[in-house]
Amino acid sequence: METKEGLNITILVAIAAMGILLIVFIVVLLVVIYQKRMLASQKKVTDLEKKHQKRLLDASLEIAEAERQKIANNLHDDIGIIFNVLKLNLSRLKKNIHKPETVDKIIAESNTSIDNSLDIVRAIYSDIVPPTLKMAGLIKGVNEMCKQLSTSAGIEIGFATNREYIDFDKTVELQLYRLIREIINNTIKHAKPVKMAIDIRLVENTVTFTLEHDGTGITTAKIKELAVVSQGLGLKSILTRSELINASLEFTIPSSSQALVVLRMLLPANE
Amino acid sequence: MYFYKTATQPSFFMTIFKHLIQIFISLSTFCSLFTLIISIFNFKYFKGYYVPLFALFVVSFVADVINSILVALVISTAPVYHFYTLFEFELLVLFYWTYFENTNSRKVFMITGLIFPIIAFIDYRINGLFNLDILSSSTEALILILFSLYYFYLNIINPSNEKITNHSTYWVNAAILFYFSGNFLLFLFGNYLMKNYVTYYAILWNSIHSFFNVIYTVLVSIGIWKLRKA
Repeated sequence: METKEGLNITILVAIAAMGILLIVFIVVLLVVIYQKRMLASQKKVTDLEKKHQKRLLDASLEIAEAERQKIANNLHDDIGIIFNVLKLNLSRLKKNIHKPETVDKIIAESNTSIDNSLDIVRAIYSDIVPPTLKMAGLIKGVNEMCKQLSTSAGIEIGFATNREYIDFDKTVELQLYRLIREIINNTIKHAKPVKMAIDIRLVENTVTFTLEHDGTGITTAKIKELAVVSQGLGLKSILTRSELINASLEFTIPSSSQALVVLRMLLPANE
Repeated sequence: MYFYKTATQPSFFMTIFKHLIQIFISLSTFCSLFTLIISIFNFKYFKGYYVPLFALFVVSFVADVINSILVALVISTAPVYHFYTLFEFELLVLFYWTYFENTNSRKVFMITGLIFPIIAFIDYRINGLFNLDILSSSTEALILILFSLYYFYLNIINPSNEKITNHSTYWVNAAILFYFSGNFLLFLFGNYLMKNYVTYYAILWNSIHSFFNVIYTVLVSIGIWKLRKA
């Protein structure tokens, strides 16, 4: 009886020990598996982050290169031609130095060319650093831009705001201005609206830029799809600039006659 | 005919089991020596928290030698275990205390290290020197299981950038967890089984303890070997 009882207890203890062994084995294995998964997910996040940073950098370089190209083209096509004309005028002046009437004509022509070139230089400068933006800030700068675009594109552009001035960091302000300009230009180019309404608001620490138009709308999902396949720089520039200043962008179509672009940016608490 | 054969001759699996136990008993005899040799060869790689472990390997080896002499002289080895458990616990707590130097849990290691001699003394008063130290050994097992689980818990909530299996301490903690959880029941019911079913207790001790002792030695040795790559 005692032997049988002892055998039973021995078997019981042995089974319990093996059960514990199994549990411990599972615990130790789970720690390894869990840690392996954590490392894999961390690597995935780091890789995505690196990929994203690279994409951002590539897009920034591409935008900067395109802007340089634009300036170079302006200088070559506009200023270069004027200088060639001025050079020709100087040659003509040398040849006709004894003909006062011709000299006067050439000087008048040259003056006009110099005035034109000064206008072009001013235009290039204001394109790079808009004077209104520099002197009066984003609100006035965007308002000014709306007026200019309204005239040049022949579109009715309304502008509203709840602030006269918002104190931005200067670099952020310039980026935001260019981003808004790119959004408006892209909307005019692709959505072909008749009317546009722009609204800039500062509520607490959030700046909200809203563009409402009656053209062909687009959704955020479609924008993201296009960003992958599109070769155009405009969309890339919009997305890159918004990421650079940590702004969120939302494209919606609330109704068939209304499309919205909403840009939100959080300002630091002291601004 | 078949019944006669099975009743009198051990089955194939029983024979294998017996051989396995015999192998584990033989291996287990040299475990402490093996761990000590591995530690000596890798001593130059030992960091601060490995010094208590090295001391433990020395103590284990010395205890095994004394045990072998006592067994040869047919004297009870129980008093050796009373002292060995105390040294083993204190050195392992010192290992954890040194390893977790920047955590808030250090006080817990210190307090358990200070309280344990009292438990060992109570055990001595209850069971006497010539019975197994079931109170202190099972308390030791329980506390060390918790400490090793705490190590794994910390590694789960604060995972390092390196694979955990490359960490030497992972293997040492796995060894501690395997050894003490596997032997916990043997420690807890030691005196009861020894008094009532001494033959079966001997079988259990020789099989379970030897098996977990071999696992412990293998895992600790891997841990020490990993120090070379650290």
